[in-house]
Amino acid sequence: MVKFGKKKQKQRRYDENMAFTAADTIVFWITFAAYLAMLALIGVYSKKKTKSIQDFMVANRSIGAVLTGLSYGATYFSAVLFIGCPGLTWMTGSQWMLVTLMNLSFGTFAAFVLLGNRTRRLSMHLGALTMPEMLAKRYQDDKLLRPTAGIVLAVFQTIYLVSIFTGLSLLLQIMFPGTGKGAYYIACILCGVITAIYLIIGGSHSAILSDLIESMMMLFAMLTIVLAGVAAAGGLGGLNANIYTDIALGPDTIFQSNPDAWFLFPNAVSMSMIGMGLVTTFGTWGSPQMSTRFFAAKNRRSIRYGMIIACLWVFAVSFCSWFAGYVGRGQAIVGGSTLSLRTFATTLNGGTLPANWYEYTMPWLLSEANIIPLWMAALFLAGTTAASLTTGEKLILVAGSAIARDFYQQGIAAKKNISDEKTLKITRISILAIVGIAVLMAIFPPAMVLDLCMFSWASLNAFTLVPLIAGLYWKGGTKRAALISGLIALGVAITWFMMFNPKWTTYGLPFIAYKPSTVIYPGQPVQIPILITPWFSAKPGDIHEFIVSQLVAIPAFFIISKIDKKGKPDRAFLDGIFKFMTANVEE
Amino acid sequence: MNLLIGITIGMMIGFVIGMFLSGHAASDPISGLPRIEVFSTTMTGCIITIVIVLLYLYLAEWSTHGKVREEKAKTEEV
Repeated sequence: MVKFGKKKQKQRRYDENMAFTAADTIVFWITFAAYLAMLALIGVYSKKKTKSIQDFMVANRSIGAVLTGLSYGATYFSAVLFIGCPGLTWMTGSQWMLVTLMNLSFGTFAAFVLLGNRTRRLSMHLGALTMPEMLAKRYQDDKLLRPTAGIVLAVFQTIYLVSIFTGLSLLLQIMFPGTGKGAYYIACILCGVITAIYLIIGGSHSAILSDLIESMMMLFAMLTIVLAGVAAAGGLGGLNANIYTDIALGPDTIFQSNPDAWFLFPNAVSMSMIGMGLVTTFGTWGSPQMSTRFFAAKNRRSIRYGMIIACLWVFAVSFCSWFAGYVGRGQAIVGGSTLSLRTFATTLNGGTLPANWYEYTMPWLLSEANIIPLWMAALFLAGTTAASLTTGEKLILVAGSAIARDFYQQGIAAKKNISDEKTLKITRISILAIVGIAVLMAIFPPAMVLDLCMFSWASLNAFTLVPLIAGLYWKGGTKRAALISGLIALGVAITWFMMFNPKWTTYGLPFIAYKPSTVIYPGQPVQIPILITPWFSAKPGDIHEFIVSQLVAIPAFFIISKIDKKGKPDRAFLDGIFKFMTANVEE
Repeated sequence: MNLLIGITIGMMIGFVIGMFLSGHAASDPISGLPRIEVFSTTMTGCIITIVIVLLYLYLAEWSTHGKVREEKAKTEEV
């Protein structure tokens, strides 16, 4: 039995008719409108500062410590994590909270220490404004590496954007009681349009400035929900006691024979947690939307002091995101909190239990668990919506610039000498196109929001992570190694996902048979465990494509670099960039 | 490079100490296999990591500016 005592609260009754009133929805829409108005003001203000393509892409490398730290944190976490994280904790145990430790120590601290200043200086030295541009200039390959990286980035950032819009719409649909899926479509279109207009006006300046306010809203909302939830259950002891009761009641049977396993690591489903932990941690290292936070930093001090701000922020928000599932399942509800959540998800889904019912944890906590007043829940909903928009903005910006600058201006149209002004126009048109595609895809959402998000992170990192880190620390990497190892690893990530991911295998090629699932594993082929330990066994589907693709990418990069003797950039060039990156001077 | 190795080892030590000092290192009641109690491990590990971050920041700033100030003071004394 897990410690913290066994206090138990009086059980609350689940009320199926409980929903936001008209007054609550007015609170939400006023807050939301005020937030959008603020974004517009920031956009107009930023427009004055956006005079060149460097202003648009990296805010003229003028961002100080506070904004660097908060911007990193706000880009790290989006609605996908608010929706996906609590659900996973609820379903498969508190072990997911260990991901916070990984996010904090390696996803943030180590990223700032190992990559922060070197990435900033390398991008400055090479005059790079985007990740593909930096890779291409570092490995001296504008012909193939740059347009390929541009296309990979644009495709997988758009897929990530789909998962964000989907998560956002799952959150927002509780604001339209009784309207069913109509609310979902309205939310998707509304957020897409607003974000696109805002980005077209302001670019990077506005995206970073809005982080300051948005990150504060996210932090305040998460802390309040979690603290109110713990208080409502009578402290940690109450939470634990209620979880034991809920596991005993069912209807989920996964931990009924050994309820202690819900609180312990490892348990039977730990391999998928390890994979997800690794991709949310190291996936940030190679993600262009995160790296460009370092591009925009003013100096080394911005990175160093930004690091402590980012670490504190990530600790609070990541912990609250995973812990929210613990808090949700630990509420004292008559008949059990899991049954209540499933009933809630069924009602919202028009009468059928959705496959991803546990991803309704956060909406359930806000509207049904009765832990905070509904007007306050409406206020927080606007805050978490802000989180999605924050990350979405940067994804669109990165994807738009990858198409316009890397694929078109410097790639296929390199000989035509396209001007920066024209490239800026193409970037803005690309932004519109990406938002349109993402909104259309989000209207027919996949079964698992977090799965799709993590697939896009894994695929992006398959291409960029090893060449990026090797480019910062090793002089021996070659352009062919960067391109070929990236493409091989990307192929492995996609193949592994399509062949073994249990949510997709039923449908064959996921993006051809792109349709929502009502049951998680209908007719799923039986997978034989390939990893057996005393604690748990893992099937291929439990091993994340991020792990497999990196295991291929790392040796491939180094082996090809060793074979490709002629592809290395010249010695003087390499000495120059390494001297600049490692110089112990303040700019 | 030494600094990087130090940080990595520091974080690993922090994690292990966090795990055991928290006093909740547990064993599974059915199999008897050692397992970690997650909540306290996470909290302790995160707090130790934040302390390491602050320590790193102090050392990094000192190595950049402290040394310069010391050298300057020595030069002025001479």
